[in-house]
Order: sequence, then structure tokens, then C-alpha cells
Amino acid sequence: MLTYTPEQIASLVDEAKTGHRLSLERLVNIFHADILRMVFYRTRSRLDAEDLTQEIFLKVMKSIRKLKDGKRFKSWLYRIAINHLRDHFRKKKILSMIGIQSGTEDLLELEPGPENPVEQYEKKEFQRYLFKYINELSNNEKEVFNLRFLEQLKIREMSFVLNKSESTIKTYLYRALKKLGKNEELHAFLTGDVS
Amino acid sequence: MKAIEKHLTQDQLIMAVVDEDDLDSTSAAHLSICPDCRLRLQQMTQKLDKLEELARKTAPKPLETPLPLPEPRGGRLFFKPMAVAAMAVLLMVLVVTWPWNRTENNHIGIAAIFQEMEKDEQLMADIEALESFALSGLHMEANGNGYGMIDDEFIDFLVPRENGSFI
Repeated sequence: MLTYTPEQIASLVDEAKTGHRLSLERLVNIFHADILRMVFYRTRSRLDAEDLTQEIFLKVMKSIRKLKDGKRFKSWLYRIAINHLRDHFRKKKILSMIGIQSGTEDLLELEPGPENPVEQYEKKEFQRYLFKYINELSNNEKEVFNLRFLEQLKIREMSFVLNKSESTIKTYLYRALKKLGKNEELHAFLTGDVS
Repeated sequence: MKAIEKHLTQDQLIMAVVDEDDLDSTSAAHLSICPDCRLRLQQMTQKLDKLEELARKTAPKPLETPLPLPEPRGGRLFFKPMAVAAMAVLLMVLVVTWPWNRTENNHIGIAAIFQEMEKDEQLMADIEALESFALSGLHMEANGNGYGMIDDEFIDFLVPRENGSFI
């Protein structure tokens, strides 16, 4: 898998800002899987994740000219994604309050892949333990944990995305990890001690 | 036991996972020399690495069809020569033809109105004539009501005078 340096990303951003379609497409391709994963782990619905991912990238395309520093593209992209997700959940909450509920899966349906049934089962179990653990976190802890360990963002990037200080980010991360240590199921799964 | 010899607590290991630079100097010094604490830190980090890897593997992959991108806006539409030329031509056409169009249209409009008025008058005259002479001459003669065609000669024929007077 190709990895791009921040300078390469910034170069693509500068070209995309002038209307260079290929550069825009390349930027989308670089981050598409990451954003899809991020949205998926928050919505737990593949259909919602695909729709929301598309909406996020459309927003990015429309406002990319406003981005002054191309090196901050990744953080800027995630900030747009986070804000869009917040709007989505706010709307969903309102709809559920007035009785219009949207369908969400409690357990994720894994895509059929080349893995054998045992691996498929392990994946399903992992997601079950993971979501059970994430549900125990506060909203801030959840957001910080997801960005750090599911999206692999650095502390500085998370600080920009969430518009919080680095010390605040670290505090939430610390609390999330402390709760992880107390979650025996997930802990055992990750250490291979599942009986 | 010296402070530097004291093993890190679970909380301190978590702090090290978050950011090793945030450890106090004593704990950082111990971590640098203690293989047990380094191993514990490594195990914790490996567990989180595995979590990252599984999260990446179990997430859905993007579909084959690419995201539809909007058409590029270009950003310099006003300065494209073709667009400028087209707008100039349109302006010229409007400026040159607009007064003529308006005058001719006015004349044509007024004449048409007069023509319509004449037609209306003729129509009213025809209607009045129909009202006055609703039946044909033949029908009127059969009724004994003519349209002025029965004269004295015809009456004398019908009812001849005796000694010049009507009976």
C-alpha cells in the first residue's frame, strides 16, 4: 500500500485547489478507505457509512479552496467528517424522538471474504467485544479512542480535529485506556486468552 | 528502595502509552533501565497494535465504483474569451435591435386594435339586421307580413274596389 508524505499530500491539495481533477481524485482515493472505516465504526451500518462518506467528500471538494495549508489536509478532512457525523446523529436523534427511526444493525454483517469461517467468526467476535467496550466510554473518551486507535491519528492531529488542547486529548485517552484494562473480554481477546 | 528502582504502576504504564514524554523524570529514568517495565509497556502497546490491525481488517472496504466527483468549477469563467465574446455579441444585439423592435411592435399593435374594432362594428350591424329581419322573405309573405313588398296594387288585386271603395 502506497503511503504519502504530508508534503505530497500538500502538493496534491494545491493542484486540486486550482481545479485539477486528477489530483482531487487521487486525494479522495488516498483517504476514502480511512474515512469509510471511521464512519463505519461510528454508525455501525455499511449503508449509512457509504452515504455519509460520499457526503463528506462532497463537502471536502466544495470547500477545498478554503484550506490554506495543504499539509493539514488530513486533520481538516477528519474535522469535516467528525462535524458531519455529529450533524447526522443530531438529526437521527430528532427523528427517533418523533417516531421516525432509521434502521441500524446491532451486530455488524461482515462481508464475505477469502477468510475461512474461523477467521470470520473471530472478526465478528472482535467487533462485538470492541463495541461493548466502546459503549462503556463517555462521548469524549469514545471519540478520542476511535481517532487514536481506529483511525490512527496522532495527538496533535486529534487536537485540531476535535478543537481541544493536547492535554485534554491525553486525559480522555488515558481514561479510555484505563477502562480498556478493566474490560476482561476484549483484553483477553487481544492477548489471545479467549477460552 | 530508591525511587528510581520502583517499578511503574499500571497507571504510569498507561501514561507512557499515551505519551512517554509525560512521565515524570524518575519514572522515565526507571523505564529506561528496567527490562520488566519495558516488557510490560511493550505488551500493552502490542495489544493496542493488534486492536488497530483488527479494526482495519474488519472495516468494510470501499466499493469498486469511484465516488462521483462534481465537475470542476474552473474558477476563471469570466476571463474565458469565448464567454466574453458571446456576452458582447448578445449585448450588441440587444442595444441595436431593442428600440426598433419596440416601435414596430407598437404600430403593429395599434393597427390590429383598430381592425378588430371595425370588425366588431360590422358584427354588431349584422346582428341587428338579423334581429330585425329574422325570417326570410318567403316566410314573411306566408305570414302575411312582408318586408314592404305588399303594395296597393296587390291589395286591389286581392280585394277589388267597387265604385272605387273598399268593401
